Amino acid sequence: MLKIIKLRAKVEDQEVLKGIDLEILPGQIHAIMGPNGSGKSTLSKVLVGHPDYQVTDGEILFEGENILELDPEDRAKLGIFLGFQYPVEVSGVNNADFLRLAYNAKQVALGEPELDPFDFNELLEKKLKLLDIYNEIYTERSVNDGFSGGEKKRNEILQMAILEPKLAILDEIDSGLDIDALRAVAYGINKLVSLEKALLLITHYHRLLEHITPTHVHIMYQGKIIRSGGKELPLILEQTGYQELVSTN
Amino acid sequence: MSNTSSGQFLAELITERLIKSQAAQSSILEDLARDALNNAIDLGMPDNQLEEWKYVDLPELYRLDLKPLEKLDFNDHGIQLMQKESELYQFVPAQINLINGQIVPGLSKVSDHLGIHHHSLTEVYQAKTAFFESHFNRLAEKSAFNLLNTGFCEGGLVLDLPPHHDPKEILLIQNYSIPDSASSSLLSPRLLLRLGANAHLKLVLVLNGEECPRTYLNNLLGEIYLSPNSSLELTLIQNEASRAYHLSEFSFALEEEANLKINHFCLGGAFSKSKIMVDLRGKHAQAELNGLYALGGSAHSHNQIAVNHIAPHTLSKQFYKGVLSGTARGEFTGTINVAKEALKTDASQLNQNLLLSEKAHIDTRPQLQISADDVKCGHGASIGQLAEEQIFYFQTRGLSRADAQKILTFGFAEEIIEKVHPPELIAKLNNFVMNNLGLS
Repeated sequence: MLKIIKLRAKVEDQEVLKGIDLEILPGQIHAIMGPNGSGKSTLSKVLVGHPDYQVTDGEILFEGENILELDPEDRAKLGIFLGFQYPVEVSGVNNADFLRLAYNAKQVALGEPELDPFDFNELLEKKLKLLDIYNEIYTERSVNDGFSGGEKKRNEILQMAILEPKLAILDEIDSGLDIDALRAVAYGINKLVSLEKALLLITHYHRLLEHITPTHVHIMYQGKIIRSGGKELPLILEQTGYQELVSTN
Repeated sequence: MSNTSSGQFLAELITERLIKSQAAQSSILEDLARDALNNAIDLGMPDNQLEEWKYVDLPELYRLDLKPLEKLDFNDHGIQLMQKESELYQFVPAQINLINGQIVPGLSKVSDHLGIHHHSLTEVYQAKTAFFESHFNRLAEKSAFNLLNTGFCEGGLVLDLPPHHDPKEILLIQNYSIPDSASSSLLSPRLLLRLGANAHLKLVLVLNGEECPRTYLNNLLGEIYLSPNSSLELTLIQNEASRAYHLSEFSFALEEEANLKINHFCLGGAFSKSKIMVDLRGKHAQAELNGLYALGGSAHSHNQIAVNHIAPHTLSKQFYKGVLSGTARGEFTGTINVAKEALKTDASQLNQNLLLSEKAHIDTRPQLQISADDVKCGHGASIGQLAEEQIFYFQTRGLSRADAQKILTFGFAEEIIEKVHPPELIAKLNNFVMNNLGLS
């Protein structure tokens, strides 16, 4: 589904990704772990086409197609989704309207019919129930406006549920969450996992991975993936710490 | 230079007016008009030295060779245009429609719906009512353009809402500007409105005009009195023709416990200057002024708001937003005056601006003059652009950059637009705003 080949990228003349290779297949759940500044978040932003990051070498193939020249919206329409570490607040734009506009943009791209507000609300209610986050803030308020940290993250998962991407990249979806909020977010993510879809989790800590079981785990350090393994890798990391892992490589 | 041209401008207009006054005996308000014009001569027309006119191309305005309309009767063309405009607002059934400041009788239906009686200035003047004597031309500032309005106003509209009258329905007043086809027109609509004690009114006032090759100056003046415990909710929509000049001044006087709420939209005209002056004369009077100016192309608009806290325990809120694209220029001057006696005043002002292009320009001037102790006064102003991180966020959800900009701009303007009733009017305003900004 996603194939990253020798990817290098820089921001403001500083190279942050220094040759990343990664392949993700449908049904897989990958986790990328690593210390601050290792380039994890940069990778997620490069994958969705953030304008501040410049790819200097390598390729990103999504379902065989090189997506490097595509605008962020066109990558989204192919089925790539980024759950933001810091979801953006947008006052004045109703969250339900925003979700409907995004949903309809996808429908248009797929050649499917758009939904009017009435029909969309039905869909939205279903998704809210599925995620067990039924709360009027997601339908009444502006996008992330005045949301708590946990509510913002749940809103990201709600968007993921509405858009049903093929590949969801979740950037530190666990950061800033207390244990209950983390459990609720993980519950939602697990509801959305399927054999046709893939998940790329970017996380600092292994506690998210206690709730969502990854099929593959990668350790990133100084812009490179220095080690890959299975679901046992976070536990090794927990015992040894990043430093030890780095020095053994 | 501008003095010479402005002197000429005035002299020519006044000469013509006086000739007309001699020819037509029936012309209204002759004494008032003559006085006003003489005062205007003494005062002279404003020039760019004055702060409020500083950025206005007055020489160009004075070069326009403006003429008052020769004929004031309605022709079929005008009636048809008005009829069409009236139908566009049929969701508000109670309507008074005016062409160039004169009531169009066949297109005004009010008494049936609301039991409100409306009159022309001529009728009220001829009846020599005490109300007219004590209220007409008492509130408006004696500035040159206001004096010109008094000198040239014909027809006009007078509404006097009796005490305790509380029509639940909304009333629409629409003034449609139709300039002369041969020359640039000076139009001088006039409004006098009083709400009796405990009377309540919801009013939508639309000022628009015919798109045509000729320009015009709509020089409009309104005086509005709110008696004790009365309330007025006014939606004021300035949507003049794109070549038009619009100068308007609405003066409000609020007695004890009177409540004024204005939702003000400045959308049309090549140049517009809208002045709203509110005197809070009675204890516990309060005024909430919300406004939105959405300017595209090379439009220039100046919103001047002045709230005068005269009595104690009075409250005012100013909240104006501006969105500017192209090479548009906006000015916001918001004044809060607190008199020595106006203890326990609570006044606030907020002006937020969104610039959609690098060549758009905004000047925002908060002016606070506070002479009383023990008052609460706050103000704030901001100028910004759309946030790139918000645009990117929307793009990652499959929305194009252009759509993201549109949605975010809409979201910015919506905060003011959504205050309006009924929903059909919100939809209309949304269209006007997005069209203006080239985002539809």
